[in-house]
Amino acid sequence: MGALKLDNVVKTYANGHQAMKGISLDINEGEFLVLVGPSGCGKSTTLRSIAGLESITSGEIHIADERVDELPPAKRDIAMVFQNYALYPHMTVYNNMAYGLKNRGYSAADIAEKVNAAAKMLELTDYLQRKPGQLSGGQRQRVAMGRAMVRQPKLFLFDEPLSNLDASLRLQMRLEIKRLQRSLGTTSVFVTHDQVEAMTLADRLVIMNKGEIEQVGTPKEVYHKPQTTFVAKFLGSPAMNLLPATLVGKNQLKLDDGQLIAIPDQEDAVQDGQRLYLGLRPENVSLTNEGNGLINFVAKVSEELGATQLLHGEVANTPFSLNLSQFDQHETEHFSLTFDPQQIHLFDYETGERVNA
Amino acid sequence: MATKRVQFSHSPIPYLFIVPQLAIIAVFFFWPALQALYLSFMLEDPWGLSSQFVGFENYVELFSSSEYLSTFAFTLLYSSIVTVFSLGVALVLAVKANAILRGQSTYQLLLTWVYAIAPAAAGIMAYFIFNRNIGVVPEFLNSFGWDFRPDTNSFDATAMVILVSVWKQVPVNFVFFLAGLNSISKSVREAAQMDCESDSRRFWTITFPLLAPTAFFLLVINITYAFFETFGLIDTLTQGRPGGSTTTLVYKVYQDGFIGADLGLSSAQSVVLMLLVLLLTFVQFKFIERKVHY
Ligand SMILES: Nc1ncnc2c1ncn2[C@@H]1O[C@H](COP(=O)(O)OP(=O)(O)O)[C@@H](O)[C@H]1O
Ligand SMILES: [Mg+2]
Repeated sequence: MGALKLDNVVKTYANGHQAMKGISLDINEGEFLVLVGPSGCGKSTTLRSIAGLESITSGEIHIADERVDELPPAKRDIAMVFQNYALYPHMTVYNNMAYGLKNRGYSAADIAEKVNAAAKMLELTDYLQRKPGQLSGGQRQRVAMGRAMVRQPKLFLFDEPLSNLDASLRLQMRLEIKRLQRSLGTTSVFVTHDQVEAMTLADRLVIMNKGEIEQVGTPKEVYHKPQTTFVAKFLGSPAMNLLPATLVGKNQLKLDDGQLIAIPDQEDAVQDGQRLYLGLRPENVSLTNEGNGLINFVAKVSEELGATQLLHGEVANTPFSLNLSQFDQHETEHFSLTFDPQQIHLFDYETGERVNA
Repeated sequence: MATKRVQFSHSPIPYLFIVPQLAIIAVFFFWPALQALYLSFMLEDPWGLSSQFVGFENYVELFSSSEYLSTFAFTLLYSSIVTVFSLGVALVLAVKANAILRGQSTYQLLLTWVYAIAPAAAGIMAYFIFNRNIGVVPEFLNSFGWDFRPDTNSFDATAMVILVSVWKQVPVNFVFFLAGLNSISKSVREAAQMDCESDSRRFWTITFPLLAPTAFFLLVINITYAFFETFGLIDTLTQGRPGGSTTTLVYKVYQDGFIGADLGLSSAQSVVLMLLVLLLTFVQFKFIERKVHY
């Protein structure tokens, strides 16, 4: 059995809003799981239900082999890092970290040892006697981490802990969190709406949408084999291009302006005449000057990113973006596009489910 | 580095702007205070026709009067009890009201609106409630075998004055405590919930310390209230009866000065009160305020 298990958890708020519509998850010992999704999709609700700060409407939550959904938060052996740190403003850094241990009856010597060890690991030793108000944002973040670490809980929960930091500090703390989690080996659930944070931190990603799980998988899996159009659009910047198309036979797509595109033979996954979305990542498409290109593209604006360039335009009256390593200005705005046939994504038009392998 | 000193040319206009304010303070605060100080060293006849300098005689008379000393003792006891109870009751109510999920605003309104009653009006209402012939409270207490006679028994009178004073002050404290509780961040409370299982322990280690600035502010407000603002209550409820046992220092100033027409003695009492306020202010700034902030 895994370190954390959610079994068909439903959460309906008092106002009738259903924030979790039957979430099931199985998380392995020592795993770093990231919950990602747009704002309001129920990530925090899921995390807070695990923590016990929110009661669940139905379903079960197990930590290790113990059912915890009826236990108060302090009994679940969980530590949580909040977005705004939630440090106790009237206590010193030392007491902030020691508080949870004191309440669990550790001896003063034990507490001192644990707190000092954590402080050393987080480079907080010089600040132990300060109050949170006298610390910088990054230091407060580390105190919040320390407060979670000292208890050596079975599970760490993080609710967007980096979103209050500036960009460079966020990058640094992201690495630090990953390094700490690796060295401590504590099972962790991390919530974020930032896809880069999600991709870089996760052993496995859970993509949520409107209270439901869209897909679970490693960062590579979810990026290269998105199971739904939602996941396809959510991960990657710029987002994946999705072109409405109709299948002709098994190996040709007809776009809405009538142009035909050859694709690898799809065999039994699809039927002749089926409405589909053709998904192409901006970096998997390239420009060609030859007239016998596969897709007609009308260029509109370009954006310089330094390493690469973005070129935005239209294919069959649908917005379409390219990420090119090199692009020189041209006289014409009409181009042809080629793509790697192995890098195409096909989704059913109605259900949004992936249909190709 | 040489510091550059900016010199504004002096214009009399700013001083003109603060003249009205200063004039009000001078006329309504400093002048009466100085007048009281002056009168406290004088012996004046009741008609104010003649007066003579008597040095500290008024003060000597004051502090050798057992009546004044017992008023002093009563005021201290009464103020402490009123302060402790109105703070305590309000804190309990605020914590409970804050924990209610449904209909919270109704509770808050019900607990708050006593605030809007003027002290004298509250005193008159209480007078009827506690009246031996028509009031409900004596009847209620009598049914427990407590022969409640606030007009003749000084313990009963004291209990009544304290009860009404507390009742009148609780809403003020309640509102401030509730605001203080609401200002404690939700995530701090949640973090504490994960760190500490016991509700009462969490209250004393997290909630209460975070309320300390509010509580200290209210402590000062409540002592001031019990000392000065209960005048209206006492005047309508007991007028210091029975036998001066419910007379506070402020009420005695009024009694001796306006009813007894002994201006010198009354002024000496005012000066004593001023010194007490000074002391209170000093304690507030020097000692406690520093400790309750974080
Ligand atoms: N206490 C609450 N009462 C009612 N609805 C809530 C409450 N908390 C959150 N919600 C709603 O539940 C949904 C999910 O919220 P949340 O889990 O905070 O989203 P996320 O963290 O993914 O942004 C949102 O639509 C939000 O408005
Ligand atoms: Mg959230």
